Amino acid sequence: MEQIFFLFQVLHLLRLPKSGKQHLSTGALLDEKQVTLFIPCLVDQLYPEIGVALCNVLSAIGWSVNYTPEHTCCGQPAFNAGHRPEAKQAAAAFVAAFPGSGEIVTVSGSCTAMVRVYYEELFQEDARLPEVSRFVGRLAEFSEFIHRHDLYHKIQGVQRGRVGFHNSCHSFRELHIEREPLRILRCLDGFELIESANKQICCGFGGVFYLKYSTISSAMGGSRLQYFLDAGADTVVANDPGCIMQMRQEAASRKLNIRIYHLVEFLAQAMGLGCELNLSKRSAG
Amino acid sequence: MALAGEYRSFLHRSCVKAADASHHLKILKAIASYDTAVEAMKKSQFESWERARQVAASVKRDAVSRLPELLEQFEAKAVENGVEVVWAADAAEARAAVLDIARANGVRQAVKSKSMTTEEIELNEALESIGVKIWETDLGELIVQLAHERPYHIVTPAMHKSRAEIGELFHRTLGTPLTDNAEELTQAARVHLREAFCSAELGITGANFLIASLGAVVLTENEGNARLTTACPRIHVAVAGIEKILPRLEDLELFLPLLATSGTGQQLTCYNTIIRGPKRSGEPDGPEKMYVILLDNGRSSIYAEEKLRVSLTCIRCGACLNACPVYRLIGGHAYNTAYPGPIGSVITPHLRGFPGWQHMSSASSLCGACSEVCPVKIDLHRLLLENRWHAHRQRTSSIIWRLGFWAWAAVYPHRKCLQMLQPFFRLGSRLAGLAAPRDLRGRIPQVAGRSFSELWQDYERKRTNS
Amino acid sequence: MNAREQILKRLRRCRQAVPDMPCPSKEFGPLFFHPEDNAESRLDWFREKFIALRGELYEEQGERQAAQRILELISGLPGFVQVQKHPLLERLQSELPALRERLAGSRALDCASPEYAQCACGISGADSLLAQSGSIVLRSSAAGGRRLSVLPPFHIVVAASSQLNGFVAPWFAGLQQDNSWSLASIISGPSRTADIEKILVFGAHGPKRLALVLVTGS
Repeated sequence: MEQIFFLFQVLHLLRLPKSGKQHLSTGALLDEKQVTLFIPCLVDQLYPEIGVALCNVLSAIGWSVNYTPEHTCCGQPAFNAGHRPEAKQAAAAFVAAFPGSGEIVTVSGSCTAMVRVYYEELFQEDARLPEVSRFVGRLAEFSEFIHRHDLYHKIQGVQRGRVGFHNSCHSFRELHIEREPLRILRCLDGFELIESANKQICCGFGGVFYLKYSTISSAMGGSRLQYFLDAGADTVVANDPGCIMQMRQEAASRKLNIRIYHLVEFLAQAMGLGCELNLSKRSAG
Repeated sequence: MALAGEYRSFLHRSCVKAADASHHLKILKAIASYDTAVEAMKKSQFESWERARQVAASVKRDAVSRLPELLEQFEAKAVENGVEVVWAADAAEARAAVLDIARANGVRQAVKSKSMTTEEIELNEALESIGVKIWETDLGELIVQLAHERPYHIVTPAMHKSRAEIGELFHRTLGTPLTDNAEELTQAARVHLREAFCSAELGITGANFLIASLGAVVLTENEGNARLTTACPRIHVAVAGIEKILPRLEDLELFLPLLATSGTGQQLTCYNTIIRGPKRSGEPDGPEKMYVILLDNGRSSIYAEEKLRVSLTCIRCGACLNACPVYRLIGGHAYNTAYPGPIGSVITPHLRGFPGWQHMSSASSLCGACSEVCPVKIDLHRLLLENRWHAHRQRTSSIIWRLGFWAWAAVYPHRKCLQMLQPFFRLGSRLAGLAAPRDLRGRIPQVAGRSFSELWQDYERKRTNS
Repeated sequence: MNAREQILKRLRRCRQAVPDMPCPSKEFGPLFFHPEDNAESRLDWFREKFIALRGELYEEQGERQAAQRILELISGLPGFVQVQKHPLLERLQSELPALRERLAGSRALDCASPEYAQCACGISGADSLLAQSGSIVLRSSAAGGRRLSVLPPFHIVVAASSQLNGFVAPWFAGLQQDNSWSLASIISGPSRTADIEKILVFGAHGPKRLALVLVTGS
């Protein structure tokens, strides 16, 4: 065990030189609007398909995407566990991975809340605070981004099923995102949105809580899913990879007949964008 | 590593309750009726609930900021009113003070109206140890006393008991004919306690508020038991946490409806009583002596913490308990302490020590429902984060987690390290999925075959090649 | 060092060391919904609230009718009736000798005596009535002490319509001026509990019935 920690530390100290190809962009036309992706670590490691869907959707609605693979995690797991020095270390590396001044978009309300609500507090009395503050202003959650640029009209497509929407607690309570994701969903046709299932109930994920109190967390996830099932939903659309991980694990272990998608996956399916990374398909608008 | 005793038993109790579907249903039913009443009352009574909260938060924060001055003002006024004020640094001192009063006055029986502060100092056991018979008079408190349990909830102590269970309990302990009719059971409790109210020499209450300008204790209740507790016995002792202070009587104009709305969904509770001393000359009845015990018991350490100080503005309405998805699931007994739920998880580690109680601060998904409903706008979920940071700073958190996050911070934020270790993570998640203990099995997420960054690199490579 | 000094010293030290919490909006302003507060609407407002709380309201034209009503309310009761010495109640008894006769046995309640159990009803005056919450407010010094309004299973309050107020503020102001009371209470309906499965039950420990005889007109 100790050797492994030692190895980690050595690797940390060595810090391999940065790749020269850090600003991969999609070779967009000059007049095109550009946005940088922040792919949360849960998406990067566990659900890359959500990241693919985000790229494809953004590209389909006329935005070209940049991706800097240097970034990994915003530091929220450590922060929520009370390990602030470690969280700050991660946050510093995270901010440094996004040079420039362009907009950044992500698929997690929770990570966005971490950055927006706690980053400046974390860097109080630190010389990097101005840099951090500038960074904080650049980041938007996906539905905030759609709303800010009024891109609703570009979202068109057909979906199926009886769908309940799960807003993540942090997106609702820290970012005050409430109507935007529903408005996005209503741009699609062919499915039924079950409003009564959309009640703001925690899925029980909660970062380290997921592992530390796994029985409680699991029971919370189960009762959240049961609420969807009782309301007659067969599909859950959520807006946070944490909630999605929790609900997918629970649905699988309880053998529940319910599908769980991220909002961007649901959109990508509706818009017929496929599962492969494909940045060439552009809408006319 | 051996888990701390309280943590281990918390885990055990919470797991048992989390799996108990009938318990969950009972609590959800009670909280659903609470929710309906509260929502309706917020809308019908307040022009803007949000503004009422802001004002309440400001008034109470100002009061707590000025705590030492206001306490001295309270004391001076109370003494003027003929009240004896006793200061208690901790639970033992508070218990000793009450026992001294009981001994000096030859008390054999005492009645008590609902008070979480007396739960905190475990007063009942102390009084019983010197042979004083103590009667809980609030119906919910009586039920849990007869069942030898702790209050389940700070406002609704017997929330977890069904009518049938209470009927059976009363039948067994009070000899009441077996019934599950709430009215008959309430009547049985009334008859049972009538005698006690009139023969007890000592009446014990808590305090919902202390009014500094008047030196008065304010009690809010529905049953009339606090009225009787302060009307019949010769001696009245009020045990109050020092943070209960409000500057002026006028503040009650807001705080009484605020507490009633958040506590039970009422506009006002049935009896709101302001008591400023023993019977005056010219009054026909009332206690001959009144004591107020001002209890610190860790509150001044919370006062010392800049971020945590706001938790002293809590008015103990119980709204955060009702809103908390964890509390709803595991219930009030799992916490094994006087103050359960979000507010309990914030203050208990400070009142009773981090090494034994920090696990409460971690037992939350940080969903923020508690902060959303708090009538005095305490950001409870952020205070839970503060507590976790405090535990880490004080090195009271577990060594496993500290080492884990140290290693995490060395590797995880750096793409190169992450990428090098990717195959190990992948394999590790597969193995952990198979080898995890039963409660974690099925909850180990599986690392994807290709991470997003790898997919992106593949795509870039393909594109440059074509 | 005793506990008092120890606690206060610590608090004072922390008060110096930690900045005060911000409290931007301490001024109340209007926070509550309420209809226009004038003499005419106030009674309607009070009536609605008081009855919703399951109070029994008897509006009586003049003191004689009020006296009659009280007699009616207490006529069938088992046990004695406790009445407070109060100018309005004195006047009602002079108006109706039958009432005086019925109340003749009234005496101070003593908890220690076994007689308390026979007390069927307490009759008292009130300081004021609050339309905002449908409450009756009283203070121990002017309402026959502490027990009268809470120990018997039935509490009758007699008040004149001139005592009707919109809000609690004037009463609070009055309490601060007066030094004669030791207990003041805002009573909103008869005693109740919902501690068993949230089922509302009246008459937990205090009065099961709360009646207000409101003397209107001259």
